[in-house]
Amino acid sequence: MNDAQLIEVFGGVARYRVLQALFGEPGRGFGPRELAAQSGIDPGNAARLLKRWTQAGLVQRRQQDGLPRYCASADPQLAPLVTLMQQDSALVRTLREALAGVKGVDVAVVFGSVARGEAAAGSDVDVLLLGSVSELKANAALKAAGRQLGRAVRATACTMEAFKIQVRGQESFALGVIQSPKIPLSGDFDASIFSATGA
Amino acid sequence: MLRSFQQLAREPDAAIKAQATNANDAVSWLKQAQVKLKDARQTAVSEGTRMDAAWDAVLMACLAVACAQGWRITSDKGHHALALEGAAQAVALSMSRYDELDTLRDWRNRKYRAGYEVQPDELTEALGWVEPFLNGVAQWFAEHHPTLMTRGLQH
Repeated sequence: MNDAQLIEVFGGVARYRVLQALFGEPGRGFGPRELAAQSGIDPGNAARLLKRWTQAGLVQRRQQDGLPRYCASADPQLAPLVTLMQQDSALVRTLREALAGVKGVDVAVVFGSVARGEAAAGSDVDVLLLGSVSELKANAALKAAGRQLGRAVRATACTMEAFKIQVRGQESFALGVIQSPKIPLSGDFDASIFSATGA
Repeated sequence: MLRSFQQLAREPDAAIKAQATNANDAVSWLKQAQVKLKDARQTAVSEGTRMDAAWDAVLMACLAVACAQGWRITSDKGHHALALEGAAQAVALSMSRYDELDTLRDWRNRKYRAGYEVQPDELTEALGWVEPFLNGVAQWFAEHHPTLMTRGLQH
């Protein structure tokens, strides 16, 4: 679905942008003003939506450092909404733009605490890049994205074959990635790793 | 975007202290940077050791810049990041060049990853970032601190 379709489905730009911010990074707690700024809507409107959605069980409210923070509900039935919103969240968009200039990336995914929806405000964003890509250059290219997102982005790169070998060898890093939630950035991770000739 | 040593020194617990400029120290750091660069080119040692030396070359050059500007970097937490940012601001390094060197700084922690090995191509890339930086720092000293260099080289 494109942006215009999603805006229609979710009943307007404001509702869509706020849901996108919340469900694009589930687990991240937003202050009402922070959420309004990220969604590009006025704080009053954001506060109204948050109140309504908290009552409906779409959003959870918690206290953090004495201030109210709102995050997407962890209800497993809402997982498809997370998948949908992650397609074009600010995080995904920023990382895709940064990776567009990096040569040799066949598959890219976000993994770790951000993908699991357990990231704190300052948590690093872990990215796995598969292909003939320079890990050094990729990390340099992602620095600007990290500044934009307000959190460091750490890329791990290896060739598809090397990653498959790690999977076959039951290495903890590879197992951790394949067994945990991932946010796709480019390519098809599962098809690439679990193809007939693969792991 | 990048902060000067003066701005960085205002941060709480910053790993930096004001110290009178010392020509001998500045030249000594520059010489150390060249020694580390030479180490980074040594093919008799592992790529990982060479990568560490490549970063050390950058750090030594940053310490030289700090010294010339009247600052001493302490060994407190965050001193590598602070040295790089302050020096990069002083020599007017572009953000993209700064990002490359900052990536090299991050790189030191990769050695703690199970099974991690530095690839020869990565080392070549790193040296391709470090060498121009050292040249830029040398140029900066020649333009901004010629007297300091002359004094330091006399000893």
